Parts: sequence; structure tokens; C-alpha cells
Amino acid sequence: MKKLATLLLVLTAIAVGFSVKITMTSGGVGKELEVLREQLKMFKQLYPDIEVEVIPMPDSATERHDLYVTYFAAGEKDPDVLMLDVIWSAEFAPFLEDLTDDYDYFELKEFLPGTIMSVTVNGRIVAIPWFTDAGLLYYRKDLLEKYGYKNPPRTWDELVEMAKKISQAEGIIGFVWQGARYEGLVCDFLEYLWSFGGEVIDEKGKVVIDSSQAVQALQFMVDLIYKHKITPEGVVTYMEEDARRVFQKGEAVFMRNWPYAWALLNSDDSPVKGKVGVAPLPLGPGGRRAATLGGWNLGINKFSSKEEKEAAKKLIKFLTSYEQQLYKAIHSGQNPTRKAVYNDPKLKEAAPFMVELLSVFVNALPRPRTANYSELSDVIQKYVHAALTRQMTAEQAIKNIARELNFLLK
Amino acid sequence: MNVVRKTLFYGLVILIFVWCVFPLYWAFVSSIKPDRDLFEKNPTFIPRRITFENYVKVFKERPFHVNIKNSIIVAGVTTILSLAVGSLSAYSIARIKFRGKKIVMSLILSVSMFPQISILGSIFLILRALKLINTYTGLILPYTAMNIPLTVWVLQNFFRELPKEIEEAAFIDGASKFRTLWSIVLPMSAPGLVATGLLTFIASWNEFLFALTFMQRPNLYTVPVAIALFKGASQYEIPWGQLMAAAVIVTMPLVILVLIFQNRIIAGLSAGAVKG
Amino acid sequence: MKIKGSAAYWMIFPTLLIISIVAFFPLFKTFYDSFFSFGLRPGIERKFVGLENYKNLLRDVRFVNALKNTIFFTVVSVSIETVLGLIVALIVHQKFTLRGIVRAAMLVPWAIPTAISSQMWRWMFHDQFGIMTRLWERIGIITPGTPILGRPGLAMWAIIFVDVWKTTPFMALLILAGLQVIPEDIYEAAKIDGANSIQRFFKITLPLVTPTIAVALIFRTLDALRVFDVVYIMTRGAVNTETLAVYNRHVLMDRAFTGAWFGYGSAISVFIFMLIMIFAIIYIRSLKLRLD
Repeated sequence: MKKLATLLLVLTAIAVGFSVKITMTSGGVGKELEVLREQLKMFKQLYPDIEVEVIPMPDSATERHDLYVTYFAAGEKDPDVLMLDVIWSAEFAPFLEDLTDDYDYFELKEFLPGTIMSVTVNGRIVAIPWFTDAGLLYYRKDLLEKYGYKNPPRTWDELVEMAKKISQAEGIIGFVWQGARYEGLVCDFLEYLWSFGGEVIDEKGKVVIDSSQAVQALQFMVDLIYKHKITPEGVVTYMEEDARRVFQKGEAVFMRNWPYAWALLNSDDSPVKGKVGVAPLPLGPGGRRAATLGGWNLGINKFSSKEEKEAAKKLIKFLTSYEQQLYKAIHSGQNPTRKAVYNDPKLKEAAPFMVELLSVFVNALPRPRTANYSELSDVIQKYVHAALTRQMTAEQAIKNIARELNFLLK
Repeated sequence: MNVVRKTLFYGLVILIFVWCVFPLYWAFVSSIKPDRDLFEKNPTFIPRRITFENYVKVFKERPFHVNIKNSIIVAGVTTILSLAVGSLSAYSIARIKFRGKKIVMSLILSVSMFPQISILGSIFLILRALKLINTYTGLILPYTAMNIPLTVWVLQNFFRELPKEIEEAAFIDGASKFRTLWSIVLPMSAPGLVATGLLTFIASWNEFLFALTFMQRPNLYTVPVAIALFKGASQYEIPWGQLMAAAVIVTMPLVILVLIFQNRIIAGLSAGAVKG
Repeated sequence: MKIKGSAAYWMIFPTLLIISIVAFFPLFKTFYDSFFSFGLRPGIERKFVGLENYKNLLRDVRFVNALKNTIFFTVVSVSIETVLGLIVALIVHQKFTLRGIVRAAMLVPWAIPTAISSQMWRWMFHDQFGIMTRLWERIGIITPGTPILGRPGLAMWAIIFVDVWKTTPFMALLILAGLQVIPEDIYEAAKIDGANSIQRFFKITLPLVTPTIAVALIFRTLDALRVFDVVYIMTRGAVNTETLAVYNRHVLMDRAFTGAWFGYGSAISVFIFMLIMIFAIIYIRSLKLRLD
């Protein structure tokens, strides 16, 4: 008996000594958490000595952000694995484990280029892309057909022409997007800016938004409302859901929004079910098209212990693997960051819409990667919105943005 | 003419009363309206239906009782510390001649003129270095420093007013300064202590800037911070009914306290203003 | 009463210790830090930059706006509070039934913590369901559907309104205390001499209550210059309501981990300190002159 007890004790000690516990933050809402728990069960079977505890996070991204700031400011060792909004990489880079040397371990060459850009700060990789999002163009394919257009608009000018013709004939709105004074406005603005050939900051971090292309891009947005009149003035209060509601009621020809809207637009009680097509956003005058990248990445806490970091890497590799990204796409509708998954026949079957998105995601670009992105965004929001409400000209707005950003990013 | 004047006068009096009390009344009314009545375009002054569910939710859906506890601890300890330290200084200033008294007085009073924002950054760095962020001590120390000028000022006024004979008698009997202070002067100045203690407690309770900056975890928030950062289910929704309930819960005791001691409080405040 | 002075130093010591560590030392450190550029973000070095931070103050659009907003807020609210406070004090000074109740009611705005009353007012100024919004619409100050706390200009007036609400009764109580010290006989004598109420007010009341008003004015002005709570809670400083204290805290705390702004923030803190000190000195000097 004594020998057995001792053996058990020793075995337990070994098991405990070798098992690692790591904590991970995650959204606490419905499907997302459910799917994660299933995935963690599968992970446990692969790595029985790693225990993962999920810490549910507040819904709002801002609150999560502030919570992370508190953790890092205090040098907390938990959580070990953090779910990071795609715009936080630069800000939290000093607190995240450098994963540049693990490029091959995580198979990063398989990932969408925009997502890799979003986790690269000063040439170092600080997180691994988990799932992604990008702005795209929704259109009423039934209406386009009715008026003789075989394909969705290739350029912004084509969009304006189609929208004018159809909206006037049908008596509905031409084009809805997000123009309220919030982060979403920056996403929309950047898409115009990039497609017109402009940029906010260059690779060296210098402010380059003071350009004629930027003014043209902003002017184009203003013209949508006041010159071409295909966008209602109320757009300056619209966020994602406001635009979607208008489009879903059948009151608009075109909409710029994120992929999430697709499922809602095709739900059984939607007036536009089956009538909606999707396409990448149109080309600008420079022959360039762009979508703003959204999504979430997984990073490792720099203050965690060596064993915790090792376990964390295994967890992240698992969650971002081909099989798991496919699983997540099918079960919680979150878009994979690995290109190959989009060609998987199972995905084609379960979510054909997602497969079409690859062309959109391939062109998606992250927002400027600066540590104080939220302030940068605030400056852009302030002046773009002022231009959209005609409190200042597009030129004045761009000049003001440049001046304040130059001060901010000294 | 007299009637017109009288009506005008009483009209103004009523206006003053309503001005002072309406927000509290409205907060209370809002807190007992069910949500569907609360969120209507033309709110009614008297609720059509009444519910107290907000008062229950305030404690169930968030750790509000924890915030109240935090405030009590911080304000309470600050008050005791300020009174203890302040009364010592106040007594010596009121009764003892010593060199440099004027300088000491000026130094102490000048602290009350410090804009808190101007020392916020440095205090934050100091507390951070001492690992006192997110601790009670981290708030109590700055609060005490901020309140000492008031405490010293008001108490030394009170001490000065006390008849000297009793103290002199004690001194002749051989009592030390401390004993005199402790067993004779303090009991005699109970009203002054109460007034000062109240003012200090209220000031610490109400403080916002330092509390917002030095206590960053929701379960450590003091009441003003918890109420300022009241969150709802989504980031755009604020549960106004609950928020008003929380406001009423915290305000009522304060208002009652202030009303009970109003004479003392006004005396304390005026001592500062009238005597210049 | 001859008492040895040394005991005094013992009794003063705890006070001096606390205020040295928690008030004076941080103040000097802020001054010192304002000549450096540094942040709390790992990897940022502390650099000596001399007067660079101060030179940048004027180049900072947001700082200049904050200064303008603060001065506007101060001038307008303190003026309104003083005038209204005097009127209220004069009214409450009269003897009438229920005077005690009114005087008690006047303590309520002061008793409610600013953070809490700000939220109460924020609810009352709610763009759709706020009762003050309805009132302002009825009176015609705004067109229906205007979000008061969302419009530049309007938002600042709403904030001033809230500050006036809270402070006028307090001012009135202070002035009242000053009024109550004036002996009745002076008025009696004046009445006998044939002075009417207006003359009595300007020749007797006003001069005698001016010192009290002056002291209240000093403290109110200094408070208004450093206003934070009501602005932060009602608008977070958005729509052009950002005051110096709100901006200063933003630079120090919100940028603490994203860049090297702590030195610049310290410079702003020093500026605010100097501003307050200058006003304090001006007032105290003019007060001394009056009292002499």
C-alpha cells in the first residue's frame, strides 16, 4: 500500500509539475464563447498538460482596451493570451512577446497579407491574426439587372452613374455608408483615401495626408451627399446598423458595410432576401481599390512566465491552424485569416458567401499603426465629419488633420 | 403695490426652492419610473406607475455596495487622519507662540490653492513607484494633504475662541500640551471637530479627479467614479433608471447629514469667508 | 501664557510632513519634469528638452482652445453666480415664514457630489428624453431635435448652467453670512435720514458686503479655472468644451503609455499652476487694498 501511495504521489507531483495553466481573454457573447469552449476541449485532447482558463471580456472594444491598459500598466502576468483588436498592435507592442522568430512555426506565409501587416510593428511581429473583417460593397443585383447592368460597378464613377440612374427611377436612395462621428467613419474615409492614392502616414511614420489625392477623396465623399445627391444628409448620423436597416428595407441601391450584414440581409423576414450581391469596393482614379481591415489577433503577454509563454504559443498555433479556422468560420461565421481556407469545399457548402470574400480580403489594409491610434482616429473623425456636415471645406479639413497629426506624432 | 411686491417676492422664493431641489426630485422620480415610462418624449412630473426594481438592480447587476464601502473607508480614514494631524497643528498655531508661525500658516494655506490637476501627474508617478495605485492608502494620503488646510484653519479659529482660563488652569496643574489638548480642549471643541469632520468627510467623499486616476479597477472605484462611469449592457446604452437610483441612494444620506448639521456647516464655511 | 515653543514644532511636524510629501514635493517634481520629454511606455527614454515643451504650448491647437474655453467658462459662470448669488442672498436675508426651509434647501446643490449632480443633469439634458431639453425647446432656445450636449456652443452653455445651479446657492449662503453681520441700526439710521431701499442698498449694503463677496469671488474664480468634474462627466470635453484641466489629464493619463507626453503634460500643469497663482495674488492684493 505504501509503495502504491508513494508512486501515486510521485506521479501526481510529476503531472502537476509539468502541467501549465494559462489564461486567455475572449469576447463573452453567445456563439463566440461557445465555439471557443468547444475548440478548447479539442485542444485539451491534444495537450492534456495545458489547462486554459477563459476570462470573458466586456463587449465594448473600448472597455476591453482600457482593461488591457490597466493590466499592462501594472505589469500583470495574467492574462497570458490576449484577444487584440487589429488597431491595438502598435499601442500594446512593448507589452507583447516578440514572435518574429516564430514566423515559420505559425506558418505566417499562409495568411492574408493585410492581416500580417496589422500585427507587424517596426518590423517585429507582435501577434498572430485570428479572424478578419473588411469593408465591402453590397448591391441590389435585381435592380442592376433591371436597368441593364450586368456587373457591379468597377470604379467609383460607375457607382455614381448607376446609383443616380437607378435611385431616380426607383425613387430610393442611391448609396448608404457610415458617416457618424465614430471609428467607423475612419474606416469608410480610409477606403476612399487609399483608392484615390492617398495615405495617412508613410512607412517611416511621417504624416503624408496633406495631399491633393486626400482632398479629392474627401471631396468625393462630400459630393456623394451634396453634388450627386445619391447619399442622404442623414448619413452623418449613420453607423453600421443604421445603414444596414435602410438597405435591408429595400430603400437603397448600394451599401458599404462589413460582412456581418450578409446573414441578416438574407434572413427569412428580410425584404431583400436573395436580391443582394457583394463585390469589392470600386477602384479609385488611381486604379487602386482598398478595403479597411478589421478583425482580431492573438498576442502573448510579455510578463508571463517562460512555461506560460510556451503553452500560449501552442494554443495560438492551434487556434489559428487551418482546421480550427475552418471550424470557427463554419460555426461562428468569423472570417479566416488563412488564404487556403477560402477554397475549402466544406466552407463553400456551409458559407458560400464567405468564399466570395477572398477577393475583398486580399486587398484589405490595416489602419495606421501608431501607438496613439485612438487619438489619430479622433482627429480624423473630427475633421472628416466637419467636412461632411459642411462646417468646413474638404481642403480645410485635410489641412487641419495634417496639422494636428503632425503635432501628435512628433 | 405691496401685493405685487409680495407676490413677486414669494414667487422668487419658490423659484429658489425649486431651483435647489428639482434635480433631486427629478432623479428620484426617474428612478422609480418603469423603463417604458422613463424613455418617453414628454416625461411626466408625477410618475404614472411606480417600481423600485432599479434600486434592486443597482446592487445586483453591479458591485455598487463595494463602491459605497470603498468611499466610506477612504473618506472615513481621511477624516480621522486629518482631524488628528490637523488639530495638533491647529492647537499649536492657536495657542503657542513660535518662530516661523506665519510662514507655517502660509505654507499650509497655500496647499488649498494648489490646482489638483497640477500635481496629479507627479502624485501618480510617486504612487506608482510605491505600488500604491489601486490601494486605499494611495487615495487617503493625497486626500489628507488636501484637507489639512481646511482642518487646521477651521479648528484654529475654534480653538482661539475657547476661554483660555481652563487651559491655563490645566497648565498650572502641570499638564503637558498634549494632555491639555486631548482631555480638555478637544472635548470643549466638539462642535468644531464635528463641523470640520463633516466638511472633510464630504469633501473626500465627493472628490473625483484623484479617485478617477488612482483607482482603476471597477471594484475599487469610489462612489463618484462608479456613478460617473456607470455602464450598461452595450457601450451606447446607459441604464438611466438605475443610475438615478444609485444617485438617490448616495445623495439622500448626504443631504440628510448636511441638513441636520446645517448650522455647524454654514458656520464652518463662513468662518473661512467672512473672516477672510 | 508662556509656553515653550519647542512643543509647537512637534505638533506641527506631522502636518508639515504630509503636505511636504504629498503636495510640495509633487509640485516641485512637476516643475522639474516639465523640462523633460518622457513617458511610461517601455522603450521611451527620458530626455532633457529645456523649454521645448513650453514652446509647444502655443503650437498646440487643442491647448489654445482649452485655454479659451476655460477663460470663457470662468468669466461667464463666476459673473452669473455672483450676481444671482447676491440677489438670492438679499431675498433670503428678509424675514419670512419658511425661511429656514429655503435656507436648508440651498445647501442641497452643494451637498450633492458634483459627479452625481453632473449625471443627474446629463439625464435632464438627454437629447431625446431629457426634461431640460424639452424645456429649452418650449422656451425656444433650441429647435426640437437638437442634442444640447452634442453641439459646440450649446454644450458649453449647458455646462455653465449646471455649474451655476450648483454654486449660486453656495455663493448666496456665503454672502448671506456677510449680510447678517451688518448691524440693523445702520439701516434704521438711514431710514430716519430718508434713504429709500435702493439708496440703502448701494450706500450701505453693497459696500459692507463687498469684502465677503470679494473673498467668495476669489475662491470661485480659482475653482472655475481648474474645473474638471462637471466637464468630464457631461461631455468628456467633446464638442469644444474641453477645459485646461480636462486636456491636462488627457495628455498625462491617456497618453501615458502611448508616447512621450508626460513632460509636456507637466508643462501644461505648470502653466495651470502659474495661472491660478497669478489670479490668487491679484485678488489677494486687491483685497488687501480694499480692506485698508
